[in-house]
Amino acid sequence: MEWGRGKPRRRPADRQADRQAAVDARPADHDADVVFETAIHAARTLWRWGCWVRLALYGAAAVPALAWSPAAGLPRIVLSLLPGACGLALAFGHSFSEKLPLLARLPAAGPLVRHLLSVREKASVDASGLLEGVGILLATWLFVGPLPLSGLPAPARTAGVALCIAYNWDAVLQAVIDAGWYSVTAAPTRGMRVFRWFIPPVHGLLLVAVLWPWSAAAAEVPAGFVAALTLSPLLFYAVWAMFAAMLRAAVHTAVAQHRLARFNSASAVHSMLKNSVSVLARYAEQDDPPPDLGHLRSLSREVLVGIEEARQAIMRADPDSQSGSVREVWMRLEPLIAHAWRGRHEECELSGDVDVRLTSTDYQRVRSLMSDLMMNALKAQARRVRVEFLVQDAERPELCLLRVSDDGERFPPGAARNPLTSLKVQDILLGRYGGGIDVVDDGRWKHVAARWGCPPGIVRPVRAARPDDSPLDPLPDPRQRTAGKGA
Amino acid sequence: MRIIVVDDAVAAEDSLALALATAPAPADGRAHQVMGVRSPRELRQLLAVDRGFQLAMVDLDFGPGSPETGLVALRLLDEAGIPCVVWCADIDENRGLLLLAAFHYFEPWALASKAGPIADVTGLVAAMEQGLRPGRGLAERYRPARGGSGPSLLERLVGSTTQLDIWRALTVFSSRPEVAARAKVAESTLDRFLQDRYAPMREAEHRLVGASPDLEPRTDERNRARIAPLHAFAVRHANFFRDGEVEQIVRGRYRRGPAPGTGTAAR
Repeated sequence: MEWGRGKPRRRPADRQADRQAAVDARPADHDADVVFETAIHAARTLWRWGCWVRLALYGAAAVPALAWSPAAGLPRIVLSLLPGACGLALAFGHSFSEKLPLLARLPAAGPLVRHLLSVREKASVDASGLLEGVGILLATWLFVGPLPLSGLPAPARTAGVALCIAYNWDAVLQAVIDAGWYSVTAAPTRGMRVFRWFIPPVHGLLLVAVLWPWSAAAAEVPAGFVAALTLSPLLFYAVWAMFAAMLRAAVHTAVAQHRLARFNSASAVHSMLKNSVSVLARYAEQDDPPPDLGHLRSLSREVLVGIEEARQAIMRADPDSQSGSVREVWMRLEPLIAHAWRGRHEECELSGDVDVRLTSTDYQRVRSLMSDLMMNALKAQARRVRVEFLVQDAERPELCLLRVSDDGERFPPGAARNPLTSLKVQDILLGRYGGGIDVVDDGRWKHVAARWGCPPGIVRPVRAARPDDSPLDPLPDPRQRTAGKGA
Repeated sequence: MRIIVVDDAVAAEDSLALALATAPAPADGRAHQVMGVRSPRELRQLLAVDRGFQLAMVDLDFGPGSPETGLVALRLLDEAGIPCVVWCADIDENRGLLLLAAFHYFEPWALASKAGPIADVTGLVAAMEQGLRPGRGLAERYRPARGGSGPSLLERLVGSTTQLDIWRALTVFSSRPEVAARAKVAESTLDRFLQDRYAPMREAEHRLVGASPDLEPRTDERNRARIAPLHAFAVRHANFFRDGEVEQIVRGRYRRGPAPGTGTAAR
């Protein structure tokens, strides 16, 4: 008797042609990929379970043989069970492939390990299958066949046969529903696929030959029981049909999930970008008062950051992309402004509560402010920029503070009376929440500090205490304020 | 006037605040005060401590970060007695049913489009400040017809929790046995659903996106042919059918009586 995962090997040239045919016939929608991948997942689990089931059946079948046969039969029992035990050990190595390197350490085991690895997920015959096949034939013929063990009571003989056939059943069933049948990379040939249909009856005929009452002892097993065992492989068709239905269902689910994911991604891009783009478009279209160039630039940068946010949200399947920490804002903004300071960038330092996860409002404010303030600093030829964020401002704890300091060019004279326009807009917006924009020049650094509060009832996340919980450098005394509603 | 903007985008609130800050001062000389929250959850927190708003501008969709839609915000504002204007991108095809529900179960004063110029919104604010009720305008398409009788379009689309379960199953599945299994209904129930909901679905398509009414099904059209368009409709409006507030509405929490002006939709 012979079985394994498929039928004998074919010539390499044939396999090459088949592989090419499989690639050519591959459906554009990758349904076959989904089927194959699902079958691999399922087969891996089924083979692992099957190893333990067969080990249990094999062990159980050995019990009646060892318990009731005379001591003189012991060497024969051991010799008969040995090939099957080796086959099972290899099957374990096959199914628990992470353990194969252990096997490879044994002397001369290299070719065997290579063989076991090479036949994975292919419809072919392998060493473990062959050994198990020979082994279970020898084990079954301990109870029936031409030369069964003598002296066993009929019920023990019947039980031994039943356990061996159950073992057989499990192994052949796994060959019938093996992932190799669905392979897209090494697709089985037409001949193999036809053979698959004949596995149940062929297996039944082999069982007839194995269980045939070749001897008087073998005839002790009830004929009706033998008939039922030999017909049992026909149930493979039912299991095969159920397995195929599960695979088809997996394709349906994958297609539906794929469509849903596409739909959700499209909706996410739409909902995340539409607002900022429409605000920009509406502002640009405005006639009275005419749009302010600084604010236009600020809005368009926000759109660019929004695109990066949308991309990252879809990649990470993050449901709440419009949230994060100051550091995350920086990481999304940095690629957009990198070109502006390429070649002269020396330092950008983040400090304070930059890792606190912000509320959606604070996140969006930081995004807009940081892009404005960073661009202003870079336009002023800054080489060093410091970004500092505090959830609670030292001076007014009800406000949070974002301070961007740079060593770029000084503000032009009279800036205090003629504030920078983008800052003026931000100052109006932050003023609604008790804050505003302050600009301070200490001679070496130019500090722009934005402060804002939040509506009543909204609770901001409070940062965890830092180990070195000392106050950050206080803002120097204002010498020059360009816009001042704040502290 | 104190205005609360309920919108996931800060930019929406900011654009209104900026437009009102640069517009001519209101008649009483007091500047408008614009405040914003990002979601119905934040609105709930705000209203717990401050209800002194004279107008709310409400978006209907708060992005993937909020499981609640604008219907929750409208209910909270309704309970607080704050007049609302729905301010959303009305051109989005997947907002249609939410808009229908907003105008059917609540009484927003108007619909303002985010696609339109901000002057439309500031004009609306100025009119409402003078106590003027805005005309039907953009909201016309979504308001229930006055003086009608019988169930409205929305009620004919989703009249019971079983129907809502089937719609939810249809957002994922497109074959009868699967939909029936997912919604835990008998196929005969599903067949009745397919037969009875097809016409309201076509009517909604016609009303919301102007789909051709020539596509009305023949009465002998088989359910197998009906399921594909119903599935497509369910997918398009998945955010509506999966909304927790819609489920509450369907359970009868906000079912409105046959008062004038709330009777039925156009037919």
